[in-house]
Amino acid sequence: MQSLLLFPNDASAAASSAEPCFIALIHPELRAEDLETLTPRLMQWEADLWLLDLKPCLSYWRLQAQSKSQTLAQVLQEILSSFLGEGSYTATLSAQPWQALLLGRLLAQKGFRGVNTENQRLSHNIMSSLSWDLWWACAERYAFHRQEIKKFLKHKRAMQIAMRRLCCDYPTSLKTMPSSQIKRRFGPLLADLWEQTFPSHVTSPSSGSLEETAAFPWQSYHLTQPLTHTRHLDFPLSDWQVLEAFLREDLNRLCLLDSFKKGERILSLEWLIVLDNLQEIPLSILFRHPHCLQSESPHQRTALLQISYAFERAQRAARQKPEAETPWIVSWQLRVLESFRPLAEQRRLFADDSASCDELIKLENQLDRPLEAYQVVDDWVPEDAFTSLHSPVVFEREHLPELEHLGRQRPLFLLNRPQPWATHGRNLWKFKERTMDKWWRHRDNTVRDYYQVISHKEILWVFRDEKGQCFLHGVYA
Amino acid sequence: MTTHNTLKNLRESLMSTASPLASSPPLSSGQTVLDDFLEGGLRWGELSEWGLPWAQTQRELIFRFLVSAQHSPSWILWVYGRQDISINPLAWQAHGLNLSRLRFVQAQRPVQELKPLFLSSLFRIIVLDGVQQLAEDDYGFLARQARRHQQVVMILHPHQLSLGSGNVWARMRINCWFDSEKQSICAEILKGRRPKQLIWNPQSL
Repeated sequence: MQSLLLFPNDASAAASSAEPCFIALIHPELRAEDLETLTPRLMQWEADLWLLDLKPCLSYWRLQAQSKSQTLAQVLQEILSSFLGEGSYTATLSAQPWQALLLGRLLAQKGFRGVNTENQRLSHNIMSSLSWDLWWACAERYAFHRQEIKKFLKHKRAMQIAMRRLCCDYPTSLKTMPSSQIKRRFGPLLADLWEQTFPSHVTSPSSGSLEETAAFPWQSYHLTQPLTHTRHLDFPLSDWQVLEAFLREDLNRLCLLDSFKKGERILSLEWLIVLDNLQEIPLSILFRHPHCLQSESPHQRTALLQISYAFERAQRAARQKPEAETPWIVSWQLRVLESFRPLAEQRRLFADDSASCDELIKLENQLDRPLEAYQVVDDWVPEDAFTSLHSPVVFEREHLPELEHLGRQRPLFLLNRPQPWATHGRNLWKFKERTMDKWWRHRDNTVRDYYQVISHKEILWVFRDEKGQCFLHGVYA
Repeated sequence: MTTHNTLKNLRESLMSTASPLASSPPLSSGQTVLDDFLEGGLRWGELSEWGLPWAQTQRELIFRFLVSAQHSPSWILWVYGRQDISINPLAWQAHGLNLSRLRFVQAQRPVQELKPLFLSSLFRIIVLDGVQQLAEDDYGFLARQARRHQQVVMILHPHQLSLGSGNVWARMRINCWFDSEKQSICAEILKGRRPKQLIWNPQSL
């Protein structure tokens, strides 16, 4: 049972659970055209350092890794080496852009090449040798992008003097210092940087999206103008059947634009509709997997389905308003917000079993909700014994024999939240298992005794906690 | 002579377009008692309706067919209607199901909300469990798609089916329930096979 015990190390373990999706790439001669084969979200941090946000196409890269039985870092290394040359660059993969670039600079300084992730032991060890000089150099660039260089220089001097007096040779010597203390003494900019360098134990780990790292001065680099197509209607329309025909035509026209590159995959579109009262309503259309418009020309089924879901949602929202009127559309603009162009050899996923996986990817892109896929995890707590995956490929995983036995005893369906359960009349109770909840999550009330209860001809899974309260947790359906 | 040739061509054309699965043996449950009761098992291309009262462990019967179908790599779709529940994958895997080829989705109006899934032939077996909002047109659509793609479509109702209210689209209708007094599982065929009843011990499964 030892392998079942998943004790947490500390808050850094929780922080590292966030998906790494930011890459800091250091190379003297980087070309944005090459980087666009990885993601549409790029930022030039310095002349030789680019930041890449993989978030919009992370599912694609995860699939690539799965299809090759590799890690994400290995796949990225293969691609970067193909156009930069092996051993000529340093790249770091992290859940936060600031962490990625700090680690990237540090690894490059120490002479490490290739792709490294923040979760590696090497990265953890090397971060402890982060010098003040490097930290200040990166911080200055950060202040430059936030256009707060004057403020930064003022507080930098004050903090440098304070650190010298405290005999702090390395930033890690003060890693337990809360950012609130830094803010009080040296201002919000340095506090913000301190928080990003040493995430506090109190705040929740960032999910790594740009929206949640709003303080980070991200400035997107656009190689080309976004593809757009505008349509002015001769008469106002609101019927989807008619709109669909026009939209199909527009999507096909987008594919014919000179700036639309061959093999380009769309990640998100915007359909900006203009109503007869000149109100503009932007509808965002996201694709679960990068979508190739050209491959679906002329029917454009996938894109039209996603647009119809967005239109339906907008109509539903409009109907809920008190003075709901039929929205008559007079014109619109169709704009490709994000797209990327993977290299030809990356477009083919799954050498074996490709047809069914490709079909599943296509189907998932045509739905307005993801299909649920699950994988079991070696964990004894019922609600933690599996992970939910939104991926077309799930590898079958054998679990521990103890868990297989538990699985047979447990019900097929769980309640989303255990419900307080009052015993009604005479029920048949049969003891099933005693489960310890994780003490680091719930300090008290950690023991659950599970019973199979037959109540009113229904076979239920009920647990009694340490306080003697009963909860309905599952159904033997 | 011309008519004869036309008919011959038509027959040949129909034979060539017919799915190779059309002549496949029925989907077995792997349990002789149950297969004999269903006169071989579930036929491909058919829609069947099952009266399986909620919380009586009867869904494990359906698993027999799913496990058997997964002996060859087949994708299975399980659509569930209830919003207050979630899947317990550990139990599903412990019952012998391969989770890598099983997909779940919650939907109240599956035909309207998940139409692309039914238009595709990817999923060989589709189970609609406890879906309340199925109109007659929806049954017709599902039955046609099942026949077209040679799928097995099972509609599980959380209540007993009655002989009074029939369903022209279902090729088989069957009720299953747990008799707590006799501690046994009972099944009764209402349509599609010779009307009969089966009672057996759940331990034998």
